Parts: sequence; structure tokens; C-alpha cells
Amino acid sequence: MIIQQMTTPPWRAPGTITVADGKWSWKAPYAGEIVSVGGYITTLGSGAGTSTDIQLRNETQTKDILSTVGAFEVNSATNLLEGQVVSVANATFAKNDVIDLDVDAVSTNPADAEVWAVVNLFMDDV
Amino acid sequence: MSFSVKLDNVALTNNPSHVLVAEPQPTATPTAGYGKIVYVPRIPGQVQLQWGGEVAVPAVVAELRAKRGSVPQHMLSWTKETGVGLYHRNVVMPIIAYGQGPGAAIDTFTLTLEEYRSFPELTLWEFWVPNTIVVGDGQAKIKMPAGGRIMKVGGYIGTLGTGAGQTRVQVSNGATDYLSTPGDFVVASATGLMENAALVASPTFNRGDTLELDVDTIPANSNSANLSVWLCAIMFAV
Repeated sequence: MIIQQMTTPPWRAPGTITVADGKWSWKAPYAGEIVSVGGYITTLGSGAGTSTDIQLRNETQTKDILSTVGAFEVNSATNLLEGQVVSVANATFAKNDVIDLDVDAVSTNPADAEVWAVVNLFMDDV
Repeated sequence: MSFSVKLDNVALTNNPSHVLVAEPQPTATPTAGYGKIVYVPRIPGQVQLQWGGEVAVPAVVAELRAKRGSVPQHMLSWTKETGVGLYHRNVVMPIIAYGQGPGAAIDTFTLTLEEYRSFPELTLWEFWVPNTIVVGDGQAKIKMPAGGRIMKVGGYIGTLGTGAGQTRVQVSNGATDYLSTPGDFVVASATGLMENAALVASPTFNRGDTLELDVDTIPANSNSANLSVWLCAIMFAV
């Protein structure tokens, strides 16, 4: 077994974003752990003081990966995801676990977001 | 504080009492004009595992021999001093044997593991087909910067579509297919994840090959959309 670090394919929320669980999914090819999470949104939406909040959830193990959700603040100057904190206790995943993108809150009409993670993968077939 | 140590993601029964890491650090030498030369040593680091007298040395050796097996390369993980999180290193483990010591006292036992940089490197490549999907070869393409081997394939579709059939995909290099069984996104899927895909026995590619995503079928109502298919590949140097 070897460990290698890489970036996941993005979880996407194409088009206008609404509040819902399981907006996009990734099935982990190996066991591993999530090191960090980032994201970008094309359209921030409107509504003073609001944000589009995202969570990554391990659907297979029923646990939230972020102890603090990430937010696309409506007044962001960069459109980047902010504030997200990976839960150390929930960062590990098993081979074939399904990890979902949940949208917990939205501004008014945000659109086209991508979220990605840096992961350590434990390769068991080399 | 004792450390929790794992070998190949499996906890050791006989935990060492200490983990010592000796890794070369980059050095920076100032130059004129506020510049600097950064020297990154390429010699491998070492990790030392030390067991004290609290565990029987024969038991430690037996466990390490069993977990090493006949493969020298392993993944070593250990907790941080706070007890949370993990450090990981790819290490080479020597063959370990146990011999009779000179006295009755149980000595501490230190095992030195040399780190190595794993190669080939694992990389991830994504075929992304936004909006409505149509049938056709080469719906997305990647020109590979080095040769390699596909290890895993997976995917997700944003909109499954409706009607008879499914969105069926193949990965090829333009001439040879890499999936012995194509990947399906069936309209009744509860997950949106790709199903059924199986790789051929030797899914290798050469430097400069153009890998492409072929869409073989779509649902009858032609309304599946936003397709992501990814490959995990180990990359060679040529």
C-alpha cells in the first residue's frame, strides 16, 4: 500500500443552485482522508448578508465532513469558498464510499459552483 | 503519551512508544537584490520507530514480519501528539529477524524505515461534458503528457434523462477501447453514479496519446446532461 495525494474531480452544482442534499456525488476509488476543501462559484447571487453554504457529506458513513460549512458569501470579492473547516474526526473515508455535495443555504439565485478536495488516497493495488 | 501507529492503514497491536522523523529540510541562501537560492535536498528521510520494554520484543518482531510479508514498500501512519489527525509516509521496511540477545534484560528496539517517493505518480483526469449530451466519439478529450496506466474509472451525471435506454460511455485512445464493459448512467439510477464499467486487462497509454470520452447511447428522450467521467491513472516518466 502506498499513499498518494491528489485533487478530486469537482463536485458541481450547475445552473441555478437550490438547497438540497446530494447535488453531486463522488465514489472514492480508494480509502483515504480529506485534507482540505475549496470551491468557486460563478454567480454569487444577491441578498445582503446572505451566502450559499455547502457541506460535503459521506453518504455511506452518514457523517458530515466539514465541521464548519463553506460559504460563498454574496459580497465576496473573489467568488471563492470561505470558512470551511474539515472535521478531523470525519475526514477519513473507505474505498467505494460515496461523498455528496449538499447545499445547506442559498443567496438569491446563485449559480454554477464547483467544490473540490485535496485527498490522501491509500492505494491498495500497486 | 503513546502513539497510535498504523501500517498499511491497519493499527499495530504492539504500538511503539516513540516515532522519530529525520527528514532533510530545504535551505535558503540569500543573494544580491533580495533574492535567494533555495536548495531542496533529494536524499530520503528516515522514520524511526522505537519500542520500549513495555512490550515483548519477540511479539513486535513477529507482528512486523507478518505485516511486512514479502513486500518492502508500505504506508506508515501515526497520530499527532494531540492524538488526532495522522501523519503518513511511504517507507521501505527491511527484513526483520529476531535473534537471542546477550543478556536477560529486554532492550529497547528501534526500527529505522527509509522513506521513498512513490513512483509512478497517481493522477486524476476528468472528462467533463456540460449541458445536453449527444451520441458521438470524442465528446471530451485529454492529450496525455506522459505514458501511464488507468487504475480506476468512475463518473457522475447531473441529469439522468428519461425514456428507454441509458447514457452509455466508453473511454478510448481513438483506436482502442479501455473499457471491456462500458459505463452506464441508467435513467432509473438512485445515485447518478456510473455503473457496470470494467477496465480491460492492460489499460495503458503512451505519451502524446489523446484519450477521449465516447458517448455510445443516450436515453430515448435525449435529455441527459452534465456528465463527468474521471480516470485515476499512474503516470510513467515517458
